[in-house]
Amino acid sequence: MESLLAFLAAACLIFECFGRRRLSGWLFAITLLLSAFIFHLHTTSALNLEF
Amino acid sequence: MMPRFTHWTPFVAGGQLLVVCLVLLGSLSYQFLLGELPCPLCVLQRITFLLACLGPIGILRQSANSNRLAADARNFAFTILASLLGLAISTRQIFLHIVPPDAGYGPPVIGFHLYTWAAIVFLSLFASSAIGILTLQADSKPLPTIINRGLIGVALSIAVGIAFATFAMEGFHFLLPDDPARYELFQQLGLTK
Repeated sequence: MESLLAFLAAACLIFECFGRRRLSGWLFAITLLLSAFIFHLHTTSALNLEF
Repeated sequence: MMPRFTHWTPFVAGGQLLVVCLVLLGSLSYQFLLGELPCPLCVLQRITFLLACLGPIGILRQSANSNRLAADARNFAFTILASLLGLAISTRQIFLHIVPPDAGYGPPVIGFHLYTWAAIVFLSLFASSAIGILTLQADSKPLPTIINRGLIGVALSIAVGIAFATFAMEGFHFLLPDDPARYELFQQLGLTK
């Protein structure tokens, strides 16, 4: 999932450079929300069973 | 001749992009030169740094093309939003390693661990975005084209490099392991034992 996020972030910057601003903005929003969700998973979910 | 204080927005955007590129290059050199694989929280901080680049890249592109700088200063909002998440992640990682017996994750750089530096840089991005908005003028002079294109090209190269490096570490798993020790993709493809 993190690699997907990294590719989305790179695509976001590339689209911005080629003037596709609306697409870039949507990609930014999706990537930011997914990053926050993955952060939540790494922080609070069953991935940290020792807590 | 130095521009007037009220015309500094393109300089602020260029400075932000330069600093983020240096931070990401530093973390990549840690990974490839010292063999220190980043943990999932470090990777998420890299991603938020990349997202924070969207603001300065948009401003540099538009300031070189037209006089629409005033309208495009809203790009700083992207930097602020991405820095907010990045700061939350780096603060969480600082708290994970703050108890005294814990030596922290990875070797320190100039006295601080990388995630502490990341928190400082995210705070600097907040402050510089505010300065960029405050010093905005519609007739600000753009940076020289070679600097504009050079900075944007370096940022894009780093973004693509980070995407492929993360894919190599994660392989076809759903999430990165909590304490990565090898490149999972090469393992899954049978390229390493």
